[in-house]
Amino acid sequence: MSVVTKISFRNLIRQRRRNILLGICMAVSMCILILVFAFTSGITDILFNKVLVYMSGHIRIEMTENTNSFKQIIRETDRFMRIAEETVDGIGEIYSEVGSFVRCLGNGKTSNVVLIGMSSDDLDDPFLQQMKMVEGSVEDVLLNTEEDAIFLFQQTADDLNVKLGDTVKVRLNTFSGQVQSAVLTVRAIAESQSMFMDMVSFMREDKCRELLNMREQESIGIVMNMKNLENPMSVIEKANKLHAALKPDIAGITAGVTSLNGESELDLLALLTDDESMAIYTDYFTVTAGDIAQLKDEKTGILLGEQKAQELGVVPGDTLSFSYRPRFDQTDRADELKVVALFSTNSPELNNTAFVHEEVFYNNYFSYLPELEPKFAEEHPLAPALVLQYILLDRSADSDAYMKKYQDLRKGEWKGAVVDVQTMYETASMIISLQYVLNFIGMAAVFILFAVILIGVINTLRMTIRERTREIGTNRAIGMQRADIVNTFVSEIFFLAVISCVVGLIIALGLMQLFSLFVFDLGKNPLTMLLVDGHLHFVPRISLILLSCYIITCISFCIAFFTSRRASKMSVAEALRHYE
Amino acid sequence: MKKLYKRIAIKLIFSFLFGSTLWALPAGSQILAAIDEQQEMSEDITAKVKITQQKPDQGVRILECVFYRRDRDDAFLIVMTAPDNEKGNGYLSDGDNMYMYRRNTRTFQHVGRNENIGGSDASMGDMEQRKYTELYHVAKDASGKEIIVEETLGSAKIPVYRVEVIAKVSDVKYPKMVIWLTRDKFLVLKTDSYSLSGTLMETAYFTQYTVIQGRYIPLWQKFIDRFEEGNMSVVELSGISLNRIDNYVFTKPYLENLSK
Repeated sequence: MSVVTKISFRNLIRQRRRNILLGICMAVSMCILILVFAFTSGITDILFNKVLVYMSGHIRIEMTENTNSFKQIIRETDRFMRIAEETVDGIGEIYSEVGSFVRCLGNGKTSNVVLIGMSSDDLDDPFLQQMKMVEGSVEDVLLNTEEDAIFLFQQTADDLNVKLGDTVKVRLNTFSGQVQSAVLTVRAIAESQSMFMDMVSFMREDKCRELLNMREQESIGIVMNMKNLENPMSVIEKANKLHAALKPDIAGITAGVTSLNGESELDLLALLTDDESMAIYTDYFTVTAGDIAQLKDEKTGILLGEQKAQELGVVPGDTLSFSYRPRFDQTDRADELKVVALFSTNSPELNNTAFVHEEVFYNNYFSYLPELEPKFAEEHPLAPALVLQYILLDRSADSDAYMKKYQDLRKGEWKGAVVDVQTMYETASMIISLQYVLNFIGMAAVFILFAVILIGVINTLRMTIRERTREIGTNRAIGMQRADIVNTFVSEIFFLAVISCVVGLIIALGLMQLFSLFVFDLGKNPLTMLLVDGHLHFVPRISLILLSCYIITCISFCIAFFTSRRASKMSVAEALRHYE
Repeated sequence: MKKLYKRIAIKLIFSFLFGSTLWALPAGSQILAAIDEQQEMSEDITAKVKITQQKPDQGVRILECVFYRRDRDDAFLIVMTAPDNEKGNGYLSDGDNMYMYRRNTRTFQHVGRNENIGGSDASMGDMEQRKYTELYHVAKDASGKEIIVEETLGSAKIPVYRVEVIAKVSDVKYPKMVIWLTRDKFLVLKTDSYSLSGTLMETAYFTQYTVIQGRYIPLWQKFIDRFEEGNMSVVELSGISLNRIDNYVFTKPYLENLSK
């Protein structure tokens, strides 16, 4: 150990009382910094990994359909989940949502509840595992085949005036807008967690689907949660990647077509009937019979190739029947078409293709996806005028952009389906803003407190070094150089800071354990969402602990350096004469 | 005496042969077509509508609006006139699309059939003129016979048909209904509406039919919620006119100007 280091340690012990008091101030500062950082990390952890995960997920795919009414439904859930799993890395869990807002009628009381379907596979879900049951069990609900069972949180059970074994009546709308009702038996009640979670109730997913009149492949949305999300911003990049992978193809149906004189198989594509699209295909097609302009008004109209028309023995004005097998149904879909015009073509890909009014697809394709769907080149000149499998909405930067996007969408007169890839930043940026504000308030408060303490520490350090000016003069007189003087003091303060930081860390960890034991019963206060089972939640992170230590040692170093350097520049004689 | 018996016998035979035809129940499709004919307005209709909504936990709420309807174009326009927080808001259907107008933001939004009107239990779909023949067919019993029964209704014992109908399409609010309608003019007097699972959800009464230019219009309608007992709404029509409505009425600019 060098002489300077030995002197520094000796000085630490020599001026015990002063150093202990100084060390306590530094330790308290360190403790406060660590506590506040851990608390704000805890808030972030709760909001991102608990609240948002269940509220909107980290990334979400949503599909809205408007054929004859607005519906939020994904018709082919497996397809979208497969694309998501192939494209997005770091997925902790991915699941499809089945559920609805329902009006719940208990014993003389009513309440609005979010009813969510869960399967028996979800029994291992950490969310269900950590529930504290008051009565009954989750298995009694999710494995119950004898009755339609429901799981409630205690607060909702109280609101509805029901207990285990009671029945509740629910009223909801199916996704197609039909009124539906059911009687459910309460088979599990769990302790209330937060105002946010209390609204949610669970039942078997297959029963929930039945209530909502949804097929097995259909869902309300697809939710993805990342593993151990430490950098929340990373979901944006993942969502952008997923968005690029979801580019839609042109919608089509391979159907059997029958006329009075014959039958054939055709690939049907749907033409948009807005002015811009009509201009595209009016220019493109060489019409040999009929009037292509009639397609705008004839909602069952079909544009048929000459060759096919001859095969079927039809002319403009004739009626055709078409039918196809849907992907997820056993019964064929059938409809009628009216020939409005015939076209000639030299393109081989159009020989077996016919074009129908978009309304035909709105009545058939979107609700009954075809088993056989033809591929049509997106580079084809007609592509801009054809109906797509869905419209992929642009990504939004934040909640405001997200809301504006949907406002613009609702002002427009669109039909078909739209798909949106959302991250928690768009759908829950109010929660994220809350997190920033809470963090900011926490940090501001701690730095004000920190500044107050620091002023004391700085003053004490300066006083200490000033009082030892004669000692500095003595050391200089016996041959110690200025640099050694500075190093002595800086080392002394540095070691004091490090020891204080360690002590401060130990105290902070102990206080975290102590504060976590307190239970806060806030009732229905929204701040309950920041607690875990009524307890404060601290997440000490190594990086933030090291940052706190770095801040304190840096400040101490700077004060010690500049003060001791100033003192070391005094002449030896002046230093020896110094008197406080 | 023999002549008398002969006359009676002839009358009985005549009644047997032709009376069953005369007294046969109408076919279900006939009844539904008659309801459609009764409800479809070949003329335009303008009316003031007052909705009194009663909920035990919320008290009484009164909504007033002006309602314009043109069935031949499937168009309607509703402009709210009361209460103050709804005044100036509107709802427009031009046959293909439905819109909601908000006066405070001066914006139109494309809405669906399930959009509630003025925060009431009535929806845009309820205002649409959709034909019973397109939406429903008459239910059949186990033997395949249509469920049409002759009954009397109320203390006045009005002779009615009770008809049970099942939805043919999935985008209809109530998948099953039971309708009581007068036997002579096929005026709907009462309906029971059922959910998809077969639970009675709503009972509606249509009374005080008045004749305006040869059309029967119910001035007083009561909707009773059978799911949440105590909830009910009363719809009263007044100031009805069947005069022609100008085309520009069923447009966004008109609604916007009206709401200023």
